[in-house]
Amino acid sequence: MDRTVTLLLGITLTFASSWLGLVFAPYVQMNNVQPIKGTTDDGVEEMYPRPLEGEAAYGREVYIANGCMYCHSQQIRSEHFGNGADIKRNWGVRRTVQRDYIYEKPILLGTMRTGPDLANVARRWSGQGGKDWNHLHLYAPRMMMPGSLMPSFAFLYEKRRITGEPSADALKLQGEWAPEPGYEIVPTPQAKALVEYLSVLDHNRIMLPEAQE
Amino acid sequence: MADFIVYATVLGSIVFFGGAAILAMAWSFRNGQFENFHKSSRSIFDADEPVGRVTDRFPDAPRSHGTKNSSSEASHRS
Amino acid sequence: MAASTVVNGLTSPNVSNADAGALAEEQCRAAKERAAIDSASRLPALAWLAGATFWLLWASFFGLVTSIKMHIPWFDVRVIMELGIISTLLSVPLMVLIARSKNLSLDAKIGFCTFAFVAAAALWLVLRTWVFDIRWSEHGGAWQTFGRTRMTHLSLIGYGWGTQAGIAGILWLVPRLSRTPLIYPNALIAAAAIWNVGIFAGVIGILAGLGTSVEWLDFPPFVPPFLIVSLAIVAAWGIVTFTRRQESHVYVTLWYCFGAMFWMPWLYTVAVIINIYSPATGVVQSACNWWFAHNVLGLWLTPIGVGAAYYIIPKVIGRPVYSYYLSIIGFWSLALFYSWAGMHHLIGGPIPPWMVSASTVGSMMMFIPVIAVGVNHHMTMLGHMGQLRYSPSLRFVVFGAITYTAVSAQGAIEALREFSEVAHFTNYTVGHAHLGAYGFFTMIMFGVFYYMVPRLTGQEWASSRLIRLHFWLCSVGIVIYFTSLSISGWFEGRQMNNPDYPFIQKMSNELPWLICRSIGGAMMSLGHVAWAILFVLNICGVGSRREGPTFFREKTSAEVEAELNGSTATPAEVALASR
Ligand code: HEC
Ligand code: HEM
Ligand code: HEM
Repeated sequence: MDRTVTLLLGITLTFASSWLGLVFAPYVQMNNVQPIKGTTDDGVEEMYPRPLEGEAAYGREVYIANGCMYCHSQQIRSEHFGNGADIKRNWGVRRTVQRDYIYEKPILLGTMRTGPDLANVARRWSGQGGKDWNHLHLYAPRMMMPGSLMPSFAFLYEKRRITGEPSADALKLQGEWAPEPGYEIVPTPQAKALVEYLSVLDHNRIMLPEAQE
Repeated sequence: MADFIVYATVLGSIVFFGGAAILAMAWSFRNGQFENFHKSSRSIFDADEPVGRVTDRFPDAPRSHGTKNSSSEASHRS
Repeated sequence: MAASTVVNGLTSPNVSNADAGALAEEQCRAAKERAAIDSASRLPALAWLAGATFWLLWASFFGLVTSIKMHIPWFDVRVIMELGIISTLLSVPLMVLIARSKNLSLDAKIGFCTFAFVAAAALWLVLRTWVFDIRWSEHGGAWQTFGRTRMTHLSLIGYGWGTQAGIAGILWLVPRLSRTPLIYPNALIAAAAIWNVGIFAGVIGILAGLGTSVEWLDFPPFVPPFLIVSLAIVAAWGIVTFTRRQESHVYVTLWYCFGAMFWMPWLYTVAVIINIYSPATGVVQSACNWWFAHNVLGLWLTPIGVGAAYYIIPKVIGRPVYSYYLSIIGFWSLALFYSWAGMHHLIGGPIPPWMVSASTVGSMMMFIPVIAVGVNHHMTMLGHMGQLRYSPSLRFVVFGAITYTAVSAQGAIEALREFSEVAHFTNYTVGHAHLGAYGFFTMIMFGVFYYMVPRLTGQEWASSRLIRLHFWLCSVGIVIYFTSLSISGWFEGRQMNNPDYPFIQKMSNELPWLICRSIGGAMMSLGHVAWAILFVLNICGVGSRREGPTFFREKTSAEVEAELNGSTATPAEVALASR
């Protein structure tokens, strides 16, 4: 009987230990990671990371609702992993680490790369030009990237009859994607928010000490 | 607050479920579940469906097949 | 008839008459007892199974849609829906005529009905394209975008089909193995109702854009309470049943079922809290998410599947399991190691390396239970492979058991860093996922149901041909599905790891394999339709009510007695009446 109890305790504790090990320990280790001060590429000093606000935060919700995560990951792996291709492909300049994600609820690491990683997509499509590209790409992926397997998110846009001046934010669509004359395609607030999110999506803003390899 | 919830969930479930698991295993040892394997393995059979009796077949198979365990007996489509 | 056939199957040919009488008595008692237990499980188990079958069809539909959208991104679901609705409307009158016909066999009826439907679909396709020139407004709708159909597919697979199928199996297996009739049937039926309301609300929620994008927990936040309440009812029932059991030996299947019923509510509740209601910081969520998602597979679906195989294989071929000792080792080592393995989904990710290492070790240790289970299942079958030709449930279950060994070996290798560098983030994982969740779990559950349902309803399966069709569509379908994605995934990984290889090129290389996947998936979905037809026919009592009892065995004296009394009651009913 005594030996059995010891054995029992042993086995049960090992089992509960996975709990401690895989949920509780990381919790203790990582739950209190804080933002730190650093310098961006442009030489600006700021706290990093910062929680998303306003339109970008709303854009993240659009991203979640439409399951972009199921084709796009948001993590850059080490230069010693998988031939370092994540960085060599210019998806990021350094690997991402725990601190990069502390404000993300829910976190969107992703498990599939049907499309490219988006952890730092703002670096590739920046400024107004980048935003315009993103709008066109979301509306008509195959216009921007022939053969793309990304679905069109045209439902985030609105087709309107042009009354008076064409809107400033109407998409500059060409060929088969252009609406019939007299009409224009404009982004809904959801599309604007989503593109705003993509244009600030940058997990490599600051070189973190712990990400150095 | 969020901290508290997580701690409570984690510790609470370890106590609760861990405790239950300990009880379950203690019981199973005391109860002799780790002995007498021969009998245990036969506990799913009974007089009506004894060892040696085949208990499933396609509905269109000849009835004879439901009784005795032999694979050479019939030869229908599969 | 009675004495001679009744003794048949028991070993000794020279029992005296008195012994034979006692045996017949004992046999009759055993049959009655089992029939009474089965009949007490009937409604709850069938209620969960009906839900499972319903959602299986929808899950397959959304899986197929998701799959097609991957190679035809502009594919519009409304076209299929329109086609389905119109062809149903066109063909139903014909089907009614066919079903009413007196001189057709059931198989012929099913065949003609199918033909009527296909013909109607073809007719409408021609009409809509060339005569009416129907076009849907250009851009699908938000509800049918890839991300949402994928969330719907996985949620329906995990909770609509997998969990409900598992519970249906449990509700039949546990009372049988405990030798005690199921209690509180109404609570369990209510649990099924609550569960299905939750699933329904969840699907609508995801399609409406409320999905959470947390893999395996995609349902909107208002759904988990339904599921938790329902799981709690089932778990409480499990505990009460365990304390009431009449069988002193706890057969290994019971171990697995109780383990599963105990782990799942725990896992789910904790995961929902840490991921949905009060999300922890950053990657702690990922750790918890994959601890959970992995354990849904390993400590919920797997134990049910493996446990059921431990029952069905010996029971069908009438041979005790090869080594009971091994089976106990297998159970406890599964409990021990599987829960540690979850982080292998995050290899290379931004989590502390020690966690990944721990999971890689856990994954490797999984070879112990996998080998224990594999040796046991396969050695039990050894020398009885011929039975596969005669028993539908054995066929499905053995297919699943073999796949279990294969998928686990594959998984352990995927958990190695060097392998994951290539296979992670590609369709290779999706291939493995289907080999496991489909080839192993789903196939075993089909096998269980082919054995279980006739014993619950007292009704024979309507058509052997349809069962065979189901088996071949599903097994060939999953082989195509798995092979094409594994090949594709491997190349994807290699090409993505080569920084000079254009991404867009990698993408177009996938195309032919994705199309193969749709073909395999379509076959599987058709197989599911065959299953649903069989199930509905059985529930409705359509089809050959075979002469004699439908319990796949010779009559027992109880039934003979009943027949002498002029009743045609099934053994279940006889036993009930005599209670
Ligand atoms: C079916 C999978 C799929 C889904 C769902 C999907 N994408 Fe894509 N995405 C792709 C593919 C494939 C590419 C690469 C080809 C291209 O650029 O069109 C891509 C490219 C992109 C790019 C360009 C990346 C770069 O590095 O140039 C952005 C930005 C993007 N997607 C954003 C999104 C957003 C936002 C969503 C959700 C609203 C989304 N994607 C949903 C498959 C998908
Ligand atoms: C010893 C046994 C097993 C091991 C070590 C194992 C290992 C793995 C690994 C490493 C992955 C992640 C691959 C990646 O993302 O790169 C994975 C994914 C998966 N496995 Fe297994 N596997 C095992 C058995 C099973 C079984 C039995 C099932 C089915 C019930 C299963 C179902 C899945 C599913 C569904 C996924 C995909 C999860 C997702 O991304 O949503 N595995 N497995
Ligand atoms: C009962 C049967 C099925 C089960 C148990 C099942 C299970 C799963 C699982 C676990 C995943 C998640 C994979 C991952 O994240 O790695 C998944 C995804 C998927 N399944 Fe299924 N599935 C089934 C049937 C089907 C069918 C019939 C199809 C039709 C082709 C299909 C198509 C898909 C697709 C396209 C995905 C998304 C993969 C991606 O995002 O790249 N599934 N399924």
